[in-house]
Amino acid sequence: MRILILAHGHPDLSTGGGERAAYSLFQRLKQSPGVTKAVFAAADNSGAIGHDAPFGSFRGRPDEILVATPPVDGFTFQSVGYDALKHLVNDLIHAVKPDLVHIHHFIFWGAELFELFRRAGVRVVFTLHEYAAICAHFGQMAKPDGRLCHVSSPGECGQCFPSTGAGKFFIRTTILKTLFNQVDHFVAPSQFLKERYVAWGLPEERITVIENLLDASVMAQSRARLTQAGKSGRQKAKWVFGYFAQINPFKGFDVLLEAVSLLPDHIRRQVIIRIHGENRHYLNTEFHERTQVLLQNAKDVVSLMGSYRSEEVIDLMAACDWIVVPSIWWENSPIVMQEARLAARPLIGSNIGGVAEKTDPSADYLFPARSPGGLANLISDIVGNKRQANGKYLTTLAQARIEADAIHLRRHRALYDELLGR
Amino acid sequence: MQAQIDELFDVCGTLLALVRVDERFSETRSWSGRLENDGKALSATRDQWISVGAERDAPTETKQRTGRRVSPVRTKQSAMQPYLVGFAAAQPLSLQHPVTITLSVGPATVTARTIEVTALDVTRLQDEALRMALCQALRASGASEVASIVSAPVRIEPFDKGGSLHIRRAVRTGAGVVLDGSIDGMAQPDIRIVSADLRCGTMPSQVVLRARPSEGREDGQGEDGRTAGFNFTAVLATSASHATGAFYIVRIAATGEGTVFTGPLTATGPKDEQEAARLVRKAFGPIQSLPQPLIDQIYRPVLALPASEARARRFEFGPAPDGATPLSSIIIPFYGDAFFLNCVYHLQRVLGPGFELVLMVDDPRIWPEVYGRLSARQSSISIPTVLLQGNENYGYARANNVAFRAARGDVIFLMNSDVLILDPTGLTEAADAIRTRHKAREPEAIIGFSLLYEDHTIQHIGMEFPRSPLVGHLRIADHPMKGLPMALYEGENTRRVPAVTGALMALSSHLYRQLGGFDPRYERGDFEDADLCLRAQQIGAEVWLHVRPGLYHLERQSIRGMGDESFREMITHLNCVAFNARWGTHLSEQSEPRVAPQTLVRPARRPISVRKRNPAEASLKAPQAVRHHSP
Repeated sequence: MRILILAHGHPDLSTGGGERAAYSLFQRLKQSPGVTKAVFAAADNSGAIGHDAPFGSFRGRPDEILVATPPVDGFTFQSVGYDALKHLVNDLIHAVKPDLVHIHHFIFWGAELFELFRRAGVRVVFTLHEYAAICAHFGQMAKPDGRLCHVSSPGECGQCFPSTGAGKFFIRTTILKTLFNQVDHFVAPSQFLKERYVAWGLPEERITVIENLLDASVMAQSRARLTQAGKSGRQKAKWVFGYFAQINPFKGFDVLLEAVSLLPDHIRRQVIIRIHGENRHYLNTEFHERTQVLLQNAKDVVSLMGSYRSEEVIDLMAACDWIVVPSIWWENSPIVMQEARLAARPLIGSNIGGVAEKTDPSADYLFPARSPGGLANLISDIVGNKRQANGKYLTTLAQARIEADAIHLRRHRALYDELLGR
Repeated sequence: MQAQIDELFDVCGTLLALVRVDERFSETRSWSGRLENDGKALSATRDQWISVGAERDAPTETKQRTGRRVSPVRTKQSAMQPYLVGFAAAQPLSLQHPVTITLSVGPATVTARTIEVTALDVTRLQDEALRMALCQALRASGASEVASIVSAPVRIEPFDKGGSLHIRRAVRTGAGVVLDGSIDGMAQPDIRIVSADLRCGTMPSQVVLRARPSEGREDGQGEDGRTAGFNFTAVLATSASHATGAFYIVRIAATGEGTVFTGPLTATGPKDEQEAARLVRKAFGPIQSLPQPLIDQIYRPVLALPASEARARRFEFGPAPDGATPLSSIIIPFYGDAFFLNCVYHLQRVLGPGFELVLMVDDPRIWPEVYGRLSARQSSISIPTVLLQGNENYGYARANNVAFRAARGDVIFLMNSDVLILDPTGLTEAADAIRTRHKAREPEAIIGFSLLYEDHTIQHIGMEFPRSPLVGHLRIADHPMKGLPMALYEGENTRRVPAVTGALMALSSHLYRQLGGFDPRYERGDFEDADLCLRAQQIGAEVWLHVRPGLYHLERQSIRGMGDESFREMITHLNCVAFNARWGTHLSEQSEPRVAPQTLVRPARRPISVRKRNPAEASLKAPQAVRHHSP
């Protein structure tokens, strides 16, 4: 079996969950028996290809190809340079001769990818990573005014974008659905995301829920940590809550800071909040100014730890008592939650979409999404009542998560086999 | 030589030939002049000729005949007597075709010349002999309003900013100039505007005067001793040939004084129809308040597009038509928004063989984007596609008419760019129905379609023409059930209707040609589809509605507060009035049961002639001109 994995970026060049999931799958497939060829192709928009050719390789690796894709229309996701894209895709098909392509995103490529591969006789699997086809607002199904969106329709989308109008949304949806018809099978990393796409119009039987695979180095860290002697039991004077995400409005960074400001003094004295992440894209915004003020008032509690690499995430998480995921949008399957599982840490998550789905009711806690008061109450309850997760149970979950990757891989392979009639 | 043809000029729509005839023969009564253009002929007999200057040795009976002879100024050297020969044309000449003047005595041609229509420069009005002859000739041709401009000796003076004439605004529009100014003086002036080439001039109804009260004092004297005066607003309708835009303000003589031409002035700056519409509305009143003749004189020059010749450059994409299967041409004009190319991409995905697309872009603003986008996805174009580049906005009617000339199919579909076809079955079926009728020699048909909005409600299921209290009880082109769920429609799936929308309609190219296409009298786009359907029925064609799934018209609501809604409303009203003027009586008679008028109502326009294209040229990708002669 020859497989081409396509992503919208290389995870070492642009850190995003989708890129990492695609790359992790590629890593595993390379070693998977029966896979004679696995090639990873990522769109390159950062100029990482250091020469004039439309293709290059990442760090000289022979099976990691960077592709200088032509621009994509930001509204309908069709390629603005269809002819050039077709040429690139045909070159890839000619060189890699894939039986099957597993596409992890069409952004930076163009949604015609599906039909280009399909027409060339290549089976097409597509993993949905967010709601881009449903929602023109960053694929988040959160309205520009901040409210959550439950169902899209041309009329309602037209209200979110008054200068665009309902008719154009109808055209957008029609085009994307038509192009999605060229996909042989869809993968959704969460049941929640699948349901949103089924409500949008994809046939239920064409979507299989399979969790994302995780980076090999993260798995290795987790294994190493689990083999060490049990370190459970709290001896620390303070409770450490860790936030592992980019600093932006969608991840609920401000919700966490506002919750801190609401903590009663006796709780506040017992709490440390560690922020692992950077604000890269939201400097010079109202969000930045607001969170700077909140941070200033929470200096005694909140520590900015800076960005981190996936190679160190397990250790950083293990140093926390709780991992907080205060996202204000639906999410899909946040990788940070998978990593927390591997680090054998309990989660505090907002009660929303994929976040709620990926928590374990026996180990984790949920608070009402977008509610700083709800989060403050939960933290107060945990600290005040000294609520500790069951260490053994967390270790079991970590062990299960390590093993689950093999299951997720097998399920991918089974899907490929089925599509290829093997 | 006994006669000579020197010039042919156009003065405010009257054609005047300046000819000279050997004075020895000039009194021959059987002289006649004849003007031929594009298969039409106009003639002027000798007694309609006006001599320029005195006729030599003129017999007394000539004096009695004319009664309007000018003071004798003899030209001793010349043995040729000049005359102005007026030709009153009911319609403008077709200047793409040669104009030929023939002077004859009886049946014998004395001289003939193919001649260009030139302008008569204002400065030549200072030639008294010519001016007086011109005045007589214009009166004789029935253009007495124009004649009054040259009824007294003419003085030309340059515009002086410190003078008694003040210009506040001179705003260009597609088909005219709106002038807003004032004039000092207590006496009400008689003001006209003429173009510097005298081809265009205002009628009295196109100038409105308002007394300008003096500042401070009631006796008409201003504080500084200057007299009060009058504000004026004037609409000068220009013709396509009037390109320079220079004009004169004419103050027609009060008794005993000369007529003063002030200028030349030029309206500079970009066209601004909205500002012009604002000025006109303020001075003449809202369009809704005016009767139809005044709407045509005052608002049409402001709202109309330039009547220049509509042309298009041709580009081809995708395969050539195979020539084997019957071909249907889908004509789609693009104006304002290249986004709807997405609907064309979609057509490429859903249409089968037997179709070609003819995309007409009459909007230079979006041309680079349309051309660039199509060029970058040529390999996705599976349907033969002709892309036409227009020079400027031609309006919906002319854009379709130009595109029709490039269409190769025996069936055409007229389609708005914001129509999205999910299921082309309805189109294929309609094309078959039209061909079957044609073969069986049954009446021709225009077929329209049920069209839905994006929320699957009705956008169109046929049009009707009720009177609307919202527009002064004029008849409007109404879309019944618009906005209601399609599920509530319980009518037939195939039925006769009074008219169908041009957003998507099918007809044979034979019928479209026979009808002369859409009538561009409907400015920019409104009512021309209804008009086409009514004209088609008058020549025996039938109008049918096909209710079929998967056809969407994503017409969007106008955005409030964009500032253009009142401008848009004015255009709609202009077209509504034109539609009612043509069809009001007919529709009223139709709605009364017993009366069925058989009179043929035809628009005053030429049918579109289709030139056979050279097949070798047709296959070239290189642009070639497609020309359309505006009627």
